[in-house]
Amino acid sequence: MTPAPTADRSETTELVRSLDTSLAAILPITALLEAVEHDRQLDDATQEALLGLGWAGMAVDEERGGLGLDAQARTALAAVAGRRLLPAAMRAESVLLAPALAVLAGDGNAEAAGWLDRLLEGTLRGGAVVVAPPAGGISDHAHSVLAPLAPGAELLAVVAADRIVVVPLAEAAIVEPFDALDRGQGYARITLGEAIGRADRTVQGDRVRAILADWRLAVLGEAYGAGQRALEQAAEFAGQREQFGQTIVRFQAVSHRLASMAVELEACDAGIGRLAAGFDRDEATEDLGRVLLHRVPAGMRTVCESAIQVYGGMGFTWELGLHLHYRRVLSLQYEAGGHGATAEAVGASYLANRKAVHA
Amino acid sequence: MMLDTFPAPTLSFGPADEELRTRIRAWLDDHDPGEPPEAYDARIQAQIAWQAELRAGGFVGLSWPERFGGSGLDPTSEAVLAEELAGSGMPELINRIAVYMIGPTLMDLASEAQQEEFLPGMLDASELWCQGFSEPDAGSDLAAVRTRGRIEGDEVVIDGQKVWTSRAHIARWCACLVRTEPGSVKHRGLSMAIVDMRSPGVTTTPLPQILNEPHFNEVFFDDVRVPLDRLIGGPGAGWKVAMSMLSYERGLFVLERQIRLRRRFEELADLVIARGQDGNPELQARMGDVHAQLEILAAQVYRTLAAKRAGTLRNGATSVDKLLMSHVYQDLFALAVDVLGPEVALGTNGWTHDLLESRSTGIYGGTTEIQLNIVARQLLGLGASS
Repeated sequence: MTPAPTADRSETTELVRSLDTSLAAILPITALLEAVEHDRQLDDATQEALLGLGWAGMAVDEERGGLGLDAQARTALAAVAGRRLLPAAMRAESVLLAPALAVLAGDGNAEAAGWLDRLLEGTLRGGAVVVAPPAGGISDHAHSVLAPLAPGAELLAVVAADRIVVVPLAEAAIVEPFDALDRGQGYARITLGEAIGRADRTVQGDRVRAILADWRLAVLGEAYGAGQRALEQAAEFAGQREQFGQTIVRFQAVSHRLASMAVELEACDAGIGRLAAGFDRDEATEDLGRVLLHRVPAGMRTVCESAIQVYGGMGFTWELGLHLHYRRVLSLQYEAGGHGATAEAVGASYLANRKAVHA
Repeated sequence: MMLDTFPAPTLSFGPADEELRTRIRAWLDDHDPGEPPEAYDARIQAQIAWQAELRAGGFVGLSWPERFGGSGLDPTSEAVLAEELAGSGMPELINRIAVYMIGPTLMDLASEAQQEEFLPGMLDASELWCQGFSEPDAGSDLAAVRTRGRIEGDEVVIDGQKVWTSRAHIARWCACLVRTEPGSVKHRGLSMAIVDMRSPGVTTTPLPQILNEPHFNEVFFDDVRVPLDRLIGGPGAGWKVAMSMLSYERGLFVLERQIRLRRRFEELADLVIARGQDGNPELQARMGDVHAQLEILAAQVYRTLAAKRAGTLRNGATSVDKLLMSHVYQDLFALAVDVLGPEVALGTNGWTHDLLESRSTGIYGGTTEIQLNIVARQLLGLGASS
């Protein structure tokens, strides 16, 4: 899983723009709102179009049939996913399930190789759940978890701190619908059975750390993208909406709120850029990753809340759809461990390291 | 749109930078000036001597062109120096505004004669500089400058008052923004005069800060005569010169500050550990939040330096650095008050000093509100705020 760096940044920019445009067309806010309103997943035609984008191969080497993108490019695409609210299950498939299958296939596991081929073709769907990220995870109790699952999912990657187990859902888990307000994301409640520890379906060691680092970048990029889209909309609205005889952006109370949102985005962009660069240079990124897993979702949550505020009463309406970006960020924040837990994890880790310096 | 450049490029150091880092570290090991004197005046003299020693060692003006007495190195070399000075707790350059702001502006916009006369004394701190920008009625609204510069023959006669002028009481030269075109308003009709602070008619009055230190001053100009050829860029170029100086201000300054803040945070963490408070989840979360802010600030400043090097720095981008820096500065020492209690709130120790000083970070170099205006206008492209 060490794709060659993208030679030219302009290639990434072009890819990002093109996918942003495609996704805006395939997945308009109206389609997402409709899915939510009628309490169903996205329709087949939309799912088909999304699969056609080849998202599942984003973090898989070209020789295994993937796109072979470097960390910077994958992070940029994750931001597009956040902007356009790509179903969360597609992130899970691309940055956790597919890379885990690629590792197993590389070790000579024919079953995994077959699954990977089908996943990349779009004829097999799946999902993934991180049950024990550094700061805890989405988990009601030991083996019952909330996970994003694609429609008709067959495989689930269960990610713990030191291992990733690929689980065929029919064999080892009970899947129940989860009554989320936003069904478009495809979250399900999964109760894992006993048989989740098969050695030939388990990835261990440094390769888990590499996949988790990649997952982290995807979560961060996606949160950034959702926040960025929220700011974009709010700034545009504030430049058009008139009150008291002038556009509201001329009021400092509004323009400063927008500027504060921009500062948060710039800061997170810089942090993620440093993390992605470190990842591509094979540097240790664990500490910075932990910090950003706390800061970026928290910052983007504030950005989305501010965007709703800038829109005023319109921001509180269902039809505007800003709540979808807000909820996407909230789900990412909890997938990362939850706000309080991530802050504690960062502080505890810092203090422990400091203690070790003096030991 | 931000999407095009996401994730932001960051600064990376090459082999030449690392070789320089090794050289600086070795030199610093042999030239540790020790603890700074407590008394303010003695501390200033020690800082002047320190810059002269650094200059003699070949480490001041690393990125200045060789023809101006510099080393002609890549701008990244200055980041290496700033990191090493701050990381080892060594004093900063006392003539920082001359070396990093006024000097580079003179290289860009001044006449050859001005460059020859004024640049050499900046590097070894033999001639200290101050900036005469703010006035009683021109703080955030810098373009409201009212200090007059009356052109009489080959001289400019200056009358007026500057305020909050850092280190004016020890400066030899002042880059002084004056209105030379009678009746002009806002940023038009301004000039940047180089004023000899020993000239007749210059009166400097210390204005003690809340730290009770005479760091900044009121400066009064009463018929002060300055040769006309000491206007940088000529008459009327004042606003352009001022903006050039301010554009050079950030980047290195924030880099250096964030490293010093990081060291203070380490000291605070050590106190938390020594008091057995490191297992407290609430404190862990607050420490985690400040640590995250410091990491983000470091990433932001590396991004700024990378953009400067690549020539892609966007207008208004350095306001983000300033805003993030002042935020974490204030949060860190607010945390220290909560952790250390009365020792900081009521005492007069280093933490008290830094807590009070942190309040200045949202004011100097453009207040938080001005920085937000800049971000709104220049980064977001929004209309002017009322």
